[in-house]
Amino acid sequence: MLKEILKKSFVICFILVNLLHARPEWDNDPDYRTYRGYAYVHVTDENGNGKSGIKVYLKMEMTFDTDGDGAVGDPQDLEYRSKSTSKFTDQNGYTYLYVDITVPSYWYNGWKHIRTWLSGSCITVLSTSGTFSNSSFWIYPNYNIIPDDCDRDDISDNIENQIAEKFKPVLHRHPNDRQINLENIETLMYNSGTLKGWNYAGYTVYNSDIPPLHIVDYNEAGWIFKNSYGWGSEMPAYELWRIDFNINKSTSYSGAAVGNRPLYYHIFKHESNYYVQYWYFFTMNDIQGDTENDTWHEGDWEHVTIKLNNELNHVAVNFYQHYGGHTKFPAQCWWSSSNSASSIPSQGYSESRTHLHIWISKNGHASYNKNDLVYRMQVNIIGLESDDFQDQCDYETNQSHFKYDFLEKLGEIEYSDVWLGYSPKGNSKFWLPFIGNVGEYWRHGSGFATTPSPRMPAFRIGYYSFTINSSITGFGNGDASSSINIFPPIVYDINGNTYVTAYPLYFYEADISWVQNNSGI
Amino acid sequence: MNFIKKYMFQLLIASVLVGNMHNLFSEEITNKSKTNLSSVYFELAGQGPFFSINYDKSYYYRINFRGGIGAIITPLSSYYTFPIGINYLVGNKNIFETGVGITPWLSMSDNIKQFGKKNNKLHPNVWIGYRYQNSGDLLLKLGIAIYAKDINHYVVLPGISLGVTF
Repeated sequence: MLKEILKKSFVICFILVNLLHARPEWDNDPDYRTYRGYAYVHVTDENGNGKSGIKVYLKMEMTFDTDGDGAVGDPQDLEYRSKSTSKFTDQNGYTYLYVDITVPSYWYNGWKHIRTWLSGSCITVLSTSGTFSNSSFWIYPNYNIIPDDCDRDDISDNIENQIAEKFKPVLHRHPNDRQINLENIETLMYNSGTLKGWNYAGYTVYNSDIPPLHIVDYNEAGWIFKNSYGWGSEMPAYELWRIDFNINKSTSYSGAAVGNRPLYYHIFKHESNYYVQYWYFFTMNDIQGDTENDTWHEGDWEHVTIKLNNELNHVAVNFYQHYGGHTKFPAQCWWSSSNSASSIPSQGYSESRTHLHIWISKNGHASYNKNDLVYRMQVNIIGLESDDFQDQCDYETNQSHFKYDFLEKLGEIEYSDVWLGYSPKGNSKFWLPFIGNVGEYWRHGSGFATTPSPRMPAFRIGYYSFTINSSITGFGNGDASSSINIFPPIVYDINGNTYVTAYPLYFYEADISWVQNNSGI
Repeated sequence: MNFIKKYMFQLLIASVLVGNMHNLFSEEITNKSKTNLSSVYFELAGQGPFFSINYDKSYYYRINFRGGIGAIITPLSSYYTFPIGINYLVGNKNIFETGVGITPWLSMSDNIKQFGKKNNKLHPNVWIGYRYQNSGDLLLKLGIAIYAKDINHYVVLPGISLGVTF
């Protein structure tokens, strides 16, 4: 009995040893050894479905002791070998890859490393597992990805495009607004833009036509001392950079040519909500005749924000108006079934009426809902002089429009601690990380700027707020953070009627009120 | 003429006060090598009327001339200001100071690129206050600037100045 057991055990051990240590068909040359690394990869999209057509790379690296004494690490006898390959995933998101490294049979294997990665400029990897090993020739990587996220904001470009198309607004224009058309910032920059920079002593240190917009200079010690996309030791504040548009009064209001008028948009996710912002760019904010001293500035970025829930149904609309704004609920806003200029808006949202109507105030270009209270600022200087500005939105609907020819995604920016500056994420707009002011502005020469030209949308921190004390920072995804610099400070109220304004100066009063002006008759 | 009649009493009181101030503040000038003193000072409010940097020169501790530059900054209208004035001084170290001035307000709105316009202002005023002044020492001024917006509308603006006299 015992003899029989030993006999069977021997047979089993013999089979096992041969199974485990027998050389496979691709490694049966007695003079060489072939090491094969395998990867069995599965790629899924953000919904968990297998994603086909994704290119996967596999790379295996090994070191060997070539004199066969087993003492790996002797530099004189050390050899390094690597091999890589790539394949696309099949219709279920799977692919199988392997690579072989063949060396003389007496070489002794030392260190090894095998890993996989995905290729594609628009892929955002949400999570991974098992993508590398230092001990095994077999790995089973899993990737969960967003396959079409060219701006790297963790939202599929396809979804962003759907959202932008679904809600794209109708922009009503005051018939007497000086601005005729929306402006295209890229065209304007290339045709008439000059980049200017000053050092902290006030001397001009850069003055040249655009392009380029991104200027980085290093000193002899290797420190960045000029950086139009971030921090430089010689130019440590964003106010020291400015784009100056070489336009004059006769040409500044026409805007972009028909066919070249973009409506910019930016979509981001914060907590469980999506936010879609439509940004429109005007050449000028020129309210001459509306104030005592004619405030004006080139470059006028304005926007609205629509807040969506996780199911992409909208929750609220934020109309931006001069450092503040009104928040309205969908039932209060006006919508139409298309974004054509002739569309007739109706109050209240429905799935057949998804295009928001916005009434733009004359020359100042604040965004209003129909029948909204409008912004008014009254300044009183020690009882001797006064000034008064009020948005004018009292025009009949569908008289005139700011039409646009296409939607243009802004994208995202990200900050690098190494680079000490901002960069566009993925295929985002190259000018989005420019840190300075966009356009010349009144009183610039005086050094006192309370109403300067705006910065790029990426730096309009705090304007996403829908509720008091909202802590959203950065351009959508929290990658770009900056101190909030809003003057005057205005607090949003979700109910849309209460505003708090505080001026920290004592010699004048500047009261902001919201008055009935029949916006959008 | 109606104005003088209407405010005859106030003018009388003021003239009496000014006349008596001469005795009140008069001190014997001692250990002074200079009788014409210059001062540079920062003024908050007053004739500035927000904030201003000023220079003045006093002659024989009796009269001085001032000139300065300041700014008014608001989100809408903003101005450079140039307070100028002439004052009568009573006393030599602790001084009663009164005088008249005029402050041009030059709009900061610029015409570069053909945008904007200037809407300049001119604001006459009266200054009444206390002044501490000593050669090589600090200058301190406290007082009020009275601006006449129109015949029936006055604006009183306190002011404080700190600087040096040399």
